[in-house]
Amino acid sequence: METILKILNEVKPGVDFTKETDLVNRQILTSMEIMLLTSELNEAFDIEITLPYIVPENFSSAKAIYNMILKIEEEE
Amino acid sequence: MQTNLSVHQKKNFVKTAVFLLILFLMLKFFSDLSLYLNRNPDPLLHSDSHGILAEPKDSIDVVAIGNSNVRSGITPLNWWNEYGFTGYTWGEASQRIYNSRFYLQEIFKKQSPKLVLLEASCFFRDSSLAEELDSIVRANISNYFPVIMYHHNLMKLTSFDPEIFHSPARSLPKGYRFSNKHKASKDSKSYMSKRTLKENTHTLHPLVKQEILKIRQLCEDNNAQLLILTLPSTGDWNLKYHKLVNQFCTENKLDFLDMNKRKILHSMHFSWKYYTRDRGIHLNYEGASTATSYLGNYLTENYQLPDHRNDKNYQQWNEDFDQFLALIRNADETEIQ
Amino acid sequence: MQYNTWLYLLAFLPLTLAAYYLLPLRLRYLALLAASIVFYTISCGSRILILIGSTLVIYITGCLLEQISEKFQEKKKELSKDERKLLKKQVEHQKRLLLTFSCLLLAGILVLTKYLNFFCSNLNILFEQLKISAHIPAFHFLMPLGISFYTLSAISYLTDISRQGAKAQKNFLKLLLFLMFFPVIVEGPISRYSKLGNQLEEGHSFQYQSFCMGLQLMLWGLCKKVLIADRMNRYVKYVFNSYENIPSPVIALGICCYTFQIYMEFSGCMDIVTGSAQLFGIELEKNFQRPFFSKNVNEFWRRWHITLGSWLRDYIFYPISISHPFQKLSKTARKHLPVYYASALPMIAALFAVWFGNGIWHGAEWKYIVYGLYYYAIVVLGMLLEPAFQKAALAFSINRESVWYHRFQIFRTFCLVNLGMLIFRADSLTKAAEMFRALLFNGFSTKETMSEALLGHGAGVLEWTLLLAFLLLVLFIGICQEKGIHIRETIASWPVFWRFGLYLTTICIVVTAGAYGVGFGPVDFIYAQF
Repeated sequence: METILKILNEVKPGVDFTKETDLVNRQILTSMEIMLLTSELNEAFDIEITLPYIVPENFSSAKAIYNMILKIEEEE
Repeated sequence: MQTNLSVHQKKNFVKTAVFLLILFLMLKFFSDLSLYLNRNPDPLLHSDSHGILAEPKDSIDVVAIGNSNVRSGITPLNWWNEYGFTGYTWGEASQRIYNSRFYLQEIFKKQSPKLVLLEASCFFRDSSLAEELDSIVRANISNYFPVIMYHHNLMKLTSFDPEIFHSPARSLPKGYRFSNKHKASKDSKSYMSKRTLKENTHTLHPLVKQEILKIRQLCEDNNAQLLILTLPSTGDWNLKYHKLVNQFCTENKLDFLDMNKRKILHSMHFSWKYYTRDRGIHLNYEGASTATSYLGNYLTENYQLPDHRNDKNYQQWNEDFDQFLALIRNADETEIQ
Repeated sequence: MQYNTWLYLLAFLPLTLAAYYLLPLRLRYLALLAASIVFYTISCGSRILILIGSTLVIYITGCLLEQISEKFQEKKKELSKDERKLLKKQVEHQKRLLLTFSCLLLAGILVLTKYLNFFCSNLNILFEQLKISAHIPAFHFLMPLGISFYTLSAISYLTDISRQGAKAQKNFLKLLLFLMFFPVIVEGPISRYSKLGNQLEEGHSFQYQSFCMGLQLMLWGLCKKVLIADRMNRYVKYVFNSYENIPSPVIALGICCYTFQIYMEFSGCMDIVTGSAQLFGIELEKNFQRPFFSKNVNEFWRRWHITLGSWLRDYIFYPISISHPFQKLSKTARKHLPVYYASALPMIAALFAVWFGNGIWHGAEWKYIVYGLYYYAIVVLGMLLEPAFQKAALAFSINRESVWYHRFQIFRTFCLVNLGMLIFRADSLTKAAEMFRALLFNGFSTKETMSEALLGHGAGVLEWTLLLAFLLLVLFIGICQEKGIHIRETIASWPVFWRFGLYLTTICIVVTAGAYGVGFGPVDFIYAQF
């Protein structure tokens, strides 16, 4: 979770990701930032986030991103 | 609970009814105002089609109805002067045939013309089923709320000219729209060529055909004959249209006179250089006089039209013609569009 | 059939409403379907058969995709992890093939009817340049109405079944309704099945409040289209046809007028169709969100034609960015470039497809392609220079979160958007370049003076006054909405007297001062041609 928060702060500094939710619908994270984030998460966790996982619900909060990574790791 | 709901529903119903009633009254007010503003304080330019409804009952022999081609192309006072029969034109810009039928119904309530001339270029204003249907709906709604057709008149209020409110209902030129401007047509040689048969993909829409036949029935019910007419226009007419209308008229035994035929234009000594005000779409006064004269001769030869020139009841027409001539002479100093 | 015509407002819509609310709830979707078929047939005639035919293909594909997924879900329970992985790969491959085939078919119809002549004419130019004596004749296919919008909705429907495991619609009529729902078929919004499908299928009971809100929104849309957008059309036409003879400030004003015209018209149309759908208890997706308050072009395209932007994001940008080859490229690039630029590489490639797609979607002309690539250049440059901008802001102590900086950004974005609109509206790329040159170099000494160019040509003192007043009104409403004030709901809560007064006055203004009838030709919706 700390890694996720670190990456989030690198991609989008100035946001308190421990508290913020609904990141996509409130446009706190743009589509380009989501792609940057995906790239970093793939690198950091040695996973491959595929297209079916690129949905607003999976990026709505740090917790949601964490759950998504767990699911991907389980499947792999 | 049920009682509360039905009270709420009743409230909504009443609110809706009140809203619609006020809207109806407001639209009626603007309709009457916009119709009134169709008049013009300058008698030469007062070409309000509705003026026919203010003429003495059953005094008009010939009514020409259509779009702005008719309004600019026929000057009925010239018929009076040359042949002695009375006429009127009812033609608004882009008027559709569906509106024409409603207007004719209004005319027949106050007048008993022996002959109705229906201008044919208005048969081709719309180019799709959607446009035809839209014209039908618009004609029906504007029958109750004319503001839809005449709302542009309300802009006259911005000029704060009180004279607007002193204009008479009767139109001196009998619906004719005067213009002494000249702008030569550039298409006079090609507009009736066979090339237009290929280039133009228009058809005579079944809804338009139906409407023409309804107008014929309306005329028959009011003991009037019907002549389908096209005035000279390089902008609004071509050989394709001629063939379509000619075929329809032949199939339905309707009289058809196309004044764009070369023979007719030559016999009139018609000039596309001097007789049009806007490059061939509409005629100016010289063009209209020429066309009216030819048409008057054609009508008296083919239809039984009276000559009222010695009738005391039609004395007003002599006065109207004299006034009209005098105003035209004065207008020679300035260009009027 | 246009949405601002008497036919639509006073005949088609009332009859559809009557049919809808007279039918039992579970059959109400049939009224919408019948109305959509009538709407399309009146507008397009026999081309409806193309739509019905392609909907059949979409229907079959959707059912097959779902069937493949269901079979996989059943089988995988009995398999080991490795066998599951292998089967999953095979299933994904099958689904991809099926999806690709259907999308190519759909895109094929679009290309044939919309782009074939463009390709052929460019090939002919190439043959001429290369002195090859071949010549491809022009074909005259009639484009089915709304084909661009329909194709995107159809592709999203199938992709969501394949990718996200969404359920396929087993009722052909309900699928047909989704794809040709009459408020959205002409100009969008581009609908997703997950958001619109269920709403169309469920019958809705009459809700007086919702009904009135729908009418209110339609009235606002008509104001925008009939009072303002159509009124500006003549002046805009004049500026774009006569730019050689008019002063530079007037050209700039003319371009701004066009931007305003297209915004009023497109958002006005969206208000009319959203209001129309609301009459049936159906909520459509928003397509505009005060775009001129945007601080950069990325934000602008998140607020302008929102559904097109989100479609391109979900079905072009993400798939390309996340694809294996580009992720591999990014990984390799990390060895040679800073992380930021290495991660940006897949996005730069994806963005090219997005903006090229955006441009060419609008029309089969080079100017639309250049229009799209113009935004591509701005977005990519902005992305590449962002680290430099951050450093510069620090070095010069510029607070990029300050109100003044935001206002500068809004103004800058407005200028960039207007430049884009110059390209968009010009008759061709050559004319756009000429007009841009005229904008820069005409100055004040031209054939027509400032006053001659400003007054007349369809815009007098009355028109400018009306335009300015409406502009201020829209600005005021926009500022309120940015601050979270819901204007429509606020008006709906006013006492009956004031509410009725406003609605009645507005209707009368639209009817009496609208740009229709004598002196105004019919002005087609700009986006209906795409």
